[in-house]
Amino acid sequence: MMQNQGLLKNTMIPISGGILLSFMFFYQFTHTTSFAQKMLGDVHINQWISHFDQSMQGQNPWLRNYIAFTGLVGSIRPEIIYLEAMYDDNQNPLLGSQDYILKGTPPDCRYWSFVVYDFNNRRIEPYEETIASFHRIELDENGQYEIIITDDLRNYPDQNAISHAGNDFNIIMRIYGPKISYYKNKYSVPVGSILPSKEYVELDN
Amino acid sequence: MLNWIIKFITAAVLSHAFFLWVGPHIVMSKLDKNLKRAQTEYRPECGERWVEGVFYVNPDCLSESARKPNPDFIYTLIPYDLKKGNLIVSAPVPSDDRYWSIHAHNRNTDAFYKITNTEIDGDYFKFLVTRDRNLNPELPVAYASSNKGLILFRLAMKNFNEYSILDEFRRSTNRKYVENL
Repeated sequence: MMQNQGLLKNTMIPISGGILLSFMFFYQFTHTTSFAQKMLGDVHINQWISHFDQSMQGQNPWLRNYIAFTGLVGSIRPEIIYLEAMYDDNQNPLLGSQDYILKGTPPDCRYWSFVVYDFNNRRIEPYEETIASFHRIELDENGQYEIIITDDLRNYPDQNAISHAGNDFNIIMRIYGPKISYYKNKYSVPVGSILPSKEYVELDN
Repeated sequence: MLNWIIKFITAAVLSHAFFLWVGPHIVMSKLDKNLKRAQTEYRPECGERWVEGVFYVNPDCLSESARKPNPDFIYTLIPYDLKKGNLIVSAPVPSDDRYWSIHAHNRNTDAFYKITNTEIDGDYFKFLVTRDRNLNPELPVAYASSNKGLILFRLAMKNFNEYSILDEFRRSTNRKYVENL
C-alpha cells in the first residue's frame, strides 16, 4: 500500500503533470489564440499578425502545427502572405454584436481578399457573404477600400459589406502573388484599420 | 524533490516533442478520413467529387471540419502515395487574369513544390512527383520527402456564378502512377 502511494507520488504525479502541462501548451497552437499569435507570425503590424509563406520545409514545429490545425496552408516563398486580426484598432475583440468599418489601401499583388471566420476558424454561413475580394470590391477615388462588417447586409445596400452573421469573429487577409518588395520590408505590407462603425462615424465627423 | 522535478520536466519535454510531431499527421489523417467518406458516400447535390484519384471540392459541400477555406477558391485535391509509383499529374491552366496555383505538400503539411499560371506557357501543365532524385525526366519535377502527401490546386472565382463553368474546366485534371519513365 505504502509502496503504491510512493509510486504515485514520486513517479505518476510528476509524469502526468508534465504531460498535462505540455498538452496545455501545445493546445494553444492548435487554435487562433492571443498566445499563439504573440509567439508566431513574421511581423506584427498594429493588430495584424502576418505569415509569409508559412509552409516552408524546416519551419518551426509550433508554426507547422498552427497552420495545420487552423487551416492556413501556405506555400513556398514568395507566393502567399496571410494576415490575421482578432482585434479592432482599440485592441478589443471583434464582436458579433457590433458593425465595423475595415478601411485601407489594397496591397500590390495578383489576388487579395478579406474573409471573416468564427473563433473556431470555421466559415460562417452563408459563406458567399463573408468575403470581400478585389474582384468585386469598389475602391474610392483615392484607391482605398472601405468594407462594412455587419450582421445584416440589408442595412448597407450598394456598399461594400460582408457579414459576420452575429458571430464573434477573426479576419484573414489573403495576399497571393505579392510584389517582392514586401519580403524585403515586411512592415511595408499595407494593413487595414478596423473600427466599430459608431466610433468611425464619430471620428469621421 | 530534485528527482520529482527531473521527471516532471522530462515528461513535459518528451510529450511536447511528440505532440509537435504527431499534430500535422493527425490533421492529415482526418483529411484522409473525410476524403474516404466523400469517395464512398455519393451526395447528388455535391456532384461527382471523386474521379479516379482526383477530389473536386464543391464549396457547398465542404466538411464542417474544414478550417478557413477561402470562399473565392475552387479547391481540387490529389492525395497520393508514392509507394504505388511515381506520380504524373496534368491539369488545365486558366489565363493569367485569374489566380491559379498548384502546391504539393508532404505528409507533415510542408510545401515542397509550387507553380502558378503566370509561370506556365500554354493551357495545360504536366509534372512529375517523385522521391527519386536520380530521375531525369523531361517533365518538371516535384521532389517529395515523404511517400504520402497532397497536391492542392487553387482556382479563383471572380464571381460565385462562375462555379459551374470553372468546375467543368478543371475536370480534365488527371493523375496516374507510373513504374518506369
